[in-house]
Amino acid sequence: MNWGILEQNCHRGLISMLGRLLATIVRGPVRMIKAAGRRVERRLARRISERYADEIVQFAALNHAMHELNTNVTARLDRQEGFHWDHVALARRLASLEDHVNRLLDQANVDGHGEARNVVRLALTETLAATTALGQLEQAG
Amino acid sequence: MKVLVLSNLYPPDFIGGYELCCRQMVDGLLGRGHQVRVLTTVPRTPCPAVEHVARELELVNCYDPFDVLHNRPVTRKVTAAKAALVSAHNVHVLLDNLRRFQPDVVYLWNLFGLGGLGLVGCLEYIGAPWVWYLGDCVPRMLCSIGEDLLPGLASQFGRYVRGSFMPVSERVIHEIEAAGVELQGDINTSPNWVLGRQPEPRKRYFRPGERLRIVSSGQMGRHKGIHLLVEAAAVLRARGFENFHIDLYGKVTDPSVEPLPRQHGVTDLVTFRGMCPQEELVDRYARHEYDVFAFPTWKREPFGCAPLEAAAYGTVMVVSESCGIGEWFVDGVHCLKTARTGEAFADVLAGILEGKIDLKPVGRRASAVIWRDFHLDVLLPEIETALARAQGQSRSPAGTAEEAYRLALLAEKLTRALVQENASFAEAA
Repeated sequence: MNWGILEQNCHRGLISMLGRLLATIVRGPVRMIKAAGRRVERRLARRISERYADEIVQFAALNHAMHELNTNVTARLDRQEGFHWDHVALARRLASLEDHVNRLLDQANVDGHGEARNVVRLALTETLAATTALGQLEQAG
Repeated sequence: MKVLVLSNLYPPDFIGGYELCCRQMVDGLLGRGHQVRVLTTVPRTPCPAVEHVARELELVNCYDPFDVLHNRPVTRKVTAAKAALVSAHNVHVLLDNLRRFQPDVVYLWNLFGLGGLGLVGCLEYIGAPWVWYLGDCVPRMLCSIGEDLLPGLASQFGRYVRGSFMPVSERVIHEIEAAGVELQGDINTSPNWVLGRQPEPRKRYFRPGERLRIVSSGQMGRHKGIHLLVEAAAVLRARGFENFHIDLYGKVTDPSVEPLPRQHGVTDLVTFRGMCPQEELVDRYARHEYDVFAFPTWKREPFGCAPLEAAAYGTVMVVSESCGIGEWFVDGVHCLKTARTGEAFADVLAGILEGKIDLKPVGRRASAVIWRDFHLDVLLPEIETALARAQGQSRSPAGTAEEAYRLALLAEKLTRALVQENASFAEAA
């Protein structure tokens, strides 16, 4: 039983030793491969960036222009909205003034009408009186 | 006429112009011989009892920043739902007041924090006529839980709620309807107003070379553009102008604006003067302590009472080009409008400082127009007509007051259950 455990432990130790040995052997080449991969990656990135640098700059400029345009459009829309409300205010002021003018005109009409009515009344009275007098004269022969 | 006024806050409690205007309107209606009863919430500021003010409603804690910041998300949601949707307690108080006072018409103001949708629903249910003064997009707020609009409720609002709406500007209607809440019934846009007696025309206006005295008042936050005024001061200094000063009156609601003058190096040009009672501020305008009222407020400003009060005494309004008050006054005629940026405000102020813009004709015209067309005494007959028209429109009740209260209880429980379930699902997800 004890021998069995010892044997098992030795076996495990051996496997672990072999694993570490293999890792030490492999580590160097893996590092080399990784470094090479990174170099290729960097070179590719540089190539791409060199090749598309103009486009990237253009995109950045476009983005900036878009942002500016957006700001300008927003400002213009705000101004337009402000103009709309100013127009509303103007219309309201005009309506209010129109009401005042109408009231004044109505007042003037009432005053004027009153005077006119007096004159008409007088004329009517005179006409009536004249008609009555004429009728009486006719009746008298 | 017997008018029952319904408002979430009533002075001495107020947040802004909405509540202050409510008191002015009530005083105006009382002055014209109407019987008015104000139904509002328990006071946050101790105040003496006033006969015509019943402070019986419960305000759901939706304005308290401590509660908003420290409550658990689910509690916040439940509170927000109760503030906007339904509070059975408040429905009961409303029904009780309707029974005792027997009003001809109910005049609605800001209902947020009262479970306002439930109150409007209750009035609709029992067929009580109402007129709603919209100093903000309250119907939209009542169809939302916090920031989240409930599209189902929004669409049903237009279907079931029909009455008389009096918004202070077109933008209020646009904002409400853009959210899908349709306003059905009469809509009559009516502006805010000034009070008092018309003073002698202002004689002295700013002249180039003098010190330009600029003022702004209201909530000191970024939504009111206070940061833009500080920026404008910095731009003016950079351009070599030093002969101006900006006084800012009001509670600092946004802590990030207070250090701005120091950061921009304009502490000697911009001063936060803290809260100032409305009457005292009006006295300052009447004494011509200021030349310009700068109002770089946000687009969704429903009206803006503060610049109107200032302009009544010849203090020229410089306002952002898109805001409620801009719908009532013409640029370059009654006020000066500009883009909502620090640079643009600096341009206008520089124009004044250099003498390119003459304040006198603008200030004179605005003052004359305000006293003639924007005085409460001028607007009151219109409002009385709207109230009388609403009173005259017969409505058949869908049920009794008891049924309305039962429905409110059911709705309140249902709302709470739905919100809690929704929050549990969200948490589980």
